[in-house]
Amino acid sequence: MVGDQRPVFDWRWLVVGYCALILFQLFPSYALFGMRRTPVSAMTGIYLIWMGIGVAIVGGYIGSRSKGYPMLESLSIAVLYMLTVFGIYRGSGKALLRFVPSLPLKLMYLLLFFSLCAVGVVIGKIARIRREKKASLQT
Amino acid sequence: MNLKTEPEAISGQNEPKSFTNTFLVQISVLAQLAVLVMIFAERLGLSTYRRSLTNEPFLLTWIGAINSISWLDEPGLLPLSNRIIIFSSMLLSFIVFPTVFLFGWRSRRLDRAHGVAAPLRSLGMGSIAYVFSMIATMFMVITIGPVTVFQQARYVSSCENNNARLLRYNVQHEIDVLTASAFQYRILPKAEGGGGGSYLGYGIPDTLARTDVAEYTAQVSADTVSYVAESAFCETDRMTVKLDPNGKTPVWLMQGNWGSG
Repeated sequence: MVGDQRPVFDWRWLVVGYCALILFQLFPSYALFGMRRTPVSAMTGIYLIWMGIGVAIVGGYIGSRSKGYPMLESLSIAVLYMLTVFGIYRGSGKALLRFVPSLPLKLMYLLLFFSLCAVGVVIGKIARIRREKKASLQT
Repeated sequence: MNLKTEPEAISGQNEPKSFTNTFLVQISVLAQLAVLVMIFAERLGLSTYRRSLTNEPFLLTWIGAINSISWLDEPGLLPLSNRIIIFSSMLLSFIVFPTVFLFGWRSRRLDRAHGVAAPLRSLGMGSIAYVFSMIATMFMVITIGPVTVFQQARYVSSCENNNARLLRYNVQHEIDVLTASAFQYRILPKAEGGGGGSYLGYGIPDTLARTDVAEYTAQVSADTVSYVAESAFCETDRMTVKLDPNGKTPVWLMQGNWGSG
């Protein structure tokens, strides 16, 4: 069944999860939609939901493939991803410099990203347990 | 990547596979490159992907349409069914297919390296999904360059043909609103959140900084504000306006189609 022996913090999942978000969500989003033309106000709404979906999917993948419940990794991925998104906004020129979220807003984003990632992890884990149960019944 | 030489850990059938160091390095390098591309593209002001053909951010338009927000009332936008189709195809071709293909490819390489009989190699749903994703991904990789060039050419073409004069009037009107807000800021005392006789501290409100017709930036000094408006449709259409200490705008510099219209 799902292994209990896992390191407290498996940095490999952090690297894979974070890079997957960059490669499979942030970069395609940039290529498709152009972050510079993405309205600033959208960051507080629909655009945020879009980013959150990606985080949840990556969380689901991690949950379904890793041992235990990698919540620390999820939190780290959420922090890094949020910093990257904001970093690109901050460092990318005149138009985006207008978007400087306040600290409570940043914390809210962080909480949201982490929650979505954690939910993804749990769902992925449940899916894996069910898959393993099914496989063990078959054997 | 030669996975056969890597210390892969597949400790049991139910144990999750661990990632090799080579894989981690490669995916990290790719992610770093992606971030650098995004930053440099923004820094250099590359416009290739900057605006969609409908001049709206794609995602917001599609999701807005799905949610039946005011986008449906906007004239000139595509029908809802078309938007859903286009949005779905983009999600599939840019995100879903490459993801399925890359992870399927990796899984096959690992299975082959360890001599594990890969269930994917049988003609099942997984195999079909893998092959289909591979074809779609390859197709996208090969065609993205020409499509981008074509799209850019089309964008430039529409840039030359759009109704520049009408846009210019709209932009002029919006700049009037901006200058009024700046002057109002200047004449307000500092205690009431104004500039107390100076423009210093003034910034374009977020809601006005980027509209349907243009993007606005402002350079602020104590007695003047220089606005630059850049058309949302055509990057070469620019307008520079200087606001003087009396709230007047004696200098209007038009460039591109706006200068000749």
